[in-house]
Amino acid sequence: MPKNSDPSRRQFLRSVVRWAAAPALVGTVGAMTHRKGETCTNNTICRTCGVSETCGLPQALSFRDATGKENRHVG
Amino acid sequence: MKLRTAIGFVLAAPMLAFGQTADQHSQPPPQFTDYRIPLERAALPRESAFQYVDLALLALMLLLTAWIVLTRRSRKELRIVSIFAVAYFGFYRLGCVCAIGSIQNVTFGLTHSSYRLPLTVAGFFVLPLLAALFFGRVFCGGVCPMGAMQDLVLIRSMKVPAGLKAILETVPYIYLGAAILFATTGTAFVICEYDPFVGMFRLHGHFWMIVFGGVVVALSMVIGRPYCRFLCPYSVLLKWCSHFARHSVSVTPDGCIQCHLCANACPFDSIEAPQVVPANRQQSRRQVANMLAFAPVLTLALAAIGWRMSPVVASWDLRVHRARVLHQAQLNPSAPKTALAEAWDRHRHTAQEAYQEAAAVEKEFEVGVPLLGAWIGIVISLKSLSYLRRKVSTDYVANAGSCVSCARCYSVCPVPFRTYGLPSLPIIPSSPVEDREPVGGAA
Repeated sequence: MPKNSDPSRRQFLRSVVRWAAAPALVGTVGAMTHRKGETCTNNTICRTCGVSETCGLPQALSFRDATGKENRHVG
Repeated sequence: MKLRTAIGFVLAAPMLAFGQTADQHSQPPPQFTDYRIPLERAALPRESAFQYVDLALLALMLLLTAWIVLTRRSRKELRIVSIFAVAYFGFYRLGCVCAIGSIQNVTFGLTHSSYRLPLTVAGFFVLPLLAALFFGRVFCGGVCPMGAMQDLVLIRSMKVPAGLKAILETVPYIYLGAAILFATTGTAFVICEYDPFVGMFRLHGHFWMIVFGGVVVALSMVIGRPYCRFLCPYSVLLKWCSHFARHSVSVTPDGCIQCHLCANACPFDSIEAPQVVPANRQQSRRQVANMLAFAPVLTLALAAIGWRMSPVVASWDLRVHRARVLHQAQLNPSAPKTALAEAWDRHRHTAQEAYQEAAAVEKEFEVGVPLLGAWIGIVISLKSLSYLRRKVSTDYVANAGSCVSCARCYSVCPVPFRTYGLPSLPIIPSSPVEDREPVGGAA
C-alpha cells in the first residue's frame, strides 16, 4: 500500500461525513420550519413581545421567571 | 486609537446595563397597589423584514470571515468584522436570535411535533454549522457577537493550567446536555436565562446576570474567551463539525520552521506542538485499556445517580413545583395559602389537573436525567481517552476543534517573509509589519 494512502482515505471519509451531514442538517431543520403549529411570532425576543405574558413556549416561561412574573423557586 | 475607542464602548456596556438596572430598582413600587415596574417595550414594526435581513447578513458575514481567515489571513480585517458583529447582532438586534440559544428551539421542535420553528432561528442554527463543515469555526472567529466581545477586550492572555483546562473543557458538554433536557421537557430555555451577554446588549436585565456578564467580560481581558471555551454549548456542535472541515486554519503558508511563535501567540491553547511516538507504547496501551474498561462503569454509575436525582431536578419545573405546593396545601389546610396555590385556584383549575400534568413531566425527567448522567459519563471517558491518545506530528498545527479562527497565529508566523519574498526572515520580528500585533494580546 502506498505511504500517502492514509491521508487521502481520511480526507475521503471526512468529505463523506461532510456531504452526508450537511443535507441531513438542512433537511431536518427545514422540515421543522414548515410545520403547522404554535410558533414564536417575535423572533424569540420575549421582552418586546405583546403575548409574552400568556405564551406557552419555554422561552417565554424562562423570560417570565427571569423578570419575576412567575417565580418557580418561591412558593 | 479608533480600536481602543471601540473597545472602550464594549467595556462600557456592562456598566451602562448595571446603571439602568440599578436605576429601575432604586425606588420600591408603591405599596398596597397592583403596580408593577413596567417593562420597556420597543416597537418593532419591521420585524418580519428583519428576519431576512438578519439571515442574509449572517450568511454574508460567515462567507466574508471565511475569506478573511483562510485567504486574506488578516487579523486586522477580522477585527473590523468582529466590531460590526458586536454592534449589529449584539447592541442593535439585542443579542437575539443567537445561534447558541437556537439549540433549545431546535430540540423543542424535535420533541414537540406541534411546534413550528421560526425561519430565523432555523437559519441561525444551521448556517454556522454548515460554515464549520466547510471552513472551520469561522462563526466564532468574527460573526458571533459574544465571542467577538470577549476577543476585543483581551489584553494579555494567561495560560490556564492543563489540569484545570481539562476539567473546564467538559463543562460545555454538560451544559449542552442540561439545556437539551430542560428544553425537551419544556421546563425552561436555560441558555437564554443564564446568558451573561444578553443583559449588556439590551442594557437591561436581572441584576445577578449583569454582574455575571461583567465578571465574564473582566475575565476575558486576561483569559482568552472564557465563555466560548468553558461554557458555550454551541461550541460543542461547532467543534464536531469543524473536524470535518474542507478548509481550515493552517498556521504557515509554507513549511513550519518550528519557532514556537504561533503557540505562544494563541490565547486559546489551540496550537498543538510536534509530537513523537512515545517510547513506552506498552504503558500507553495499558492506560487506554484501563480507561476503556472504566468507561462503562462510570457511565452506568452516573446514570444511576441521575435516576436517583430525577425528582430533585424535576422540581425545577414550574408544573412539578406547583403540584408539590398544592399537595402541601391540601395536607395542611390551616396554613396560609401561597401565591402559587392562590393563582392556581383563581384560574379555576383543580389540584387533580396539576398532579396529572406534574406526573407526566416527572416521567420525562425519570428518563431524561439518567440519560444526562450517562452523557456526562461518556463525555468524561472520551475526554480522558483523547488525552491519552498520541497524535504523531512534525509541525505546529492548529487543532481543528478548538481553533476559533481568530487569525492571531498568522501575524506572528515568520514564514510568510520567506514565502512571499519579503525582506528577511526574522525569528522575532522587529520591523513594523501591517497587521502585526503583540504576542498573546489583542489590543
